[in-house]
Amino acid sequence: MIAIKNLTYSINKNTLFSGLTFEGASGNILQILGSNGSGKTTLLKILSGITEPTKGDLEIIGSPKKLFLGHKIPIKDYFTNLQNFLSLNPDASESNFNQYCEQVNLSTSKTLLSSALSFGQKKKLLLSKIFLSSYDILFLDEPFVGLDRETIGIIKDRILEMKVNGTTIFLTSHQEVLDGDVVINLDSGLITK
Amino acid sequence: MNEFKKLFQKTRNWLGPILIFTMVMIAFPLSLNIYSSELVSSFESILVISLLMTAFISTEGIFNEDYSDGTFEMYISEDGSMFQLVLEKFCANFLMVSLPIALVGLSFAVANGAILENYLSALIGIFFVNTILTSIFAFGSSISLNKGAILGIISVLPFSMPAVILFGRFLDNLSLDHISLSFLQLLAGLSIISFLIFAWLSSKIIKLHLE
Repeated sequence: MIAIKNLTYSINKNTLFSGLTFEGASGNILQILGSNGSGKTTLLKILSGITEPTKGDLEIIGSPKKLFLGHKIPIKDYFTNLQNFLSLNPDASESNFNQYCEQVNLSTSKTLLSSALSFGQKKKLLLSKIFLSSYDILFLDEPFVGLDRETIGIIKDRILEMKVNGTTIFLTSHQEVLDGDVVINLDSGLITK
Repeated sequence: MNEFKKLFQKTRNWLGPILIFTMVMIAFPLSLNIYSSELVSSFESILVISLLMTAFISTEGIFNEDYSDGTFEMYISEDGSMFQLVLEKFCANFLMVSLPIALVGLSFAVANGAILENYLSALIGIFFVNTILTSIFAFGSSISLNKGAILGIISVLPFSMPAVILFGRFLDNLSLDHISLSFLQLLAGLSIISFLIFAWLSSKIIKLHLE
């Protein structure tokens, strides 16, 4: 479980959000809403431990397995698709790659350099992390951007499957794909359940 | 291992500095009379300058890619140790760049007649000094991650000068065949210390950049 109390973040004397208090229980989807520049990504980075808050407490019970997937795609253009896949999923094998490609309709060759992939295909390759491993807390920043409708459905199903298995999922999305158990609106500061 | 694979695939990043170093080493005797006695006396300073230059070139963008494509963010979120990741990057750089440069430097030193004794000491010395310089410039690269390489050079130049002076004395002693084991031990100690300290500092600076 993750508990946030009076969380405030300011940058260059500009306060992005202040006094945020909420809890993320096991198996909850917490949806973060807000306009551009309202601090959605920053909040995810604070929760995932990448960024320090200006003020407030962040308590994570135990030592959960976490993962943050942001806007950026850490796929190396000079690696082949298989090399990137294995680099992202060190415990996976070549057969896992083939299975995954089939699962998300990623029509590409394992020996092809990833520089040849489109944005959406790279994103599919990156999202293999949530298919091949299980996490206790997941931070997803606009996970559906750049994906086709069919793949969005597959990713949504996987997220719901992880939720059922007890993963706490923090999600920002401008697309109305998933409903959150808790909705954090950074524009109004309202937290609704 | 992954960092080694990444560097290996980016041919430009490891072959580039080695080729530039080799080019300077070849151009130097060609620009002078190849039978000139000046060749021997000025070889040392060319070697020092070339090492300084290639250490900078090889580390200029050592962290840039992982910083800009989100690899660091993902790695930290999975509770990965940034210090360990930076150490891996340093090690890959030493194996792929510093070691070949030490070998190339030694072979040109021999070819130019600058060092006639203690080939092994020369090789070890060049490697250790290159290690120190690479660690320092990698630290500079972490400082200037999103601000351009000039800031990095300015901030680490004071650190690199003592290493250059030390290497100059090392080459002097080597050419006089006065090199002692304690001198090599000093270089080894300094290179290990700078390796660890600058890797630690770089990891802290990168984390600050990510915030």
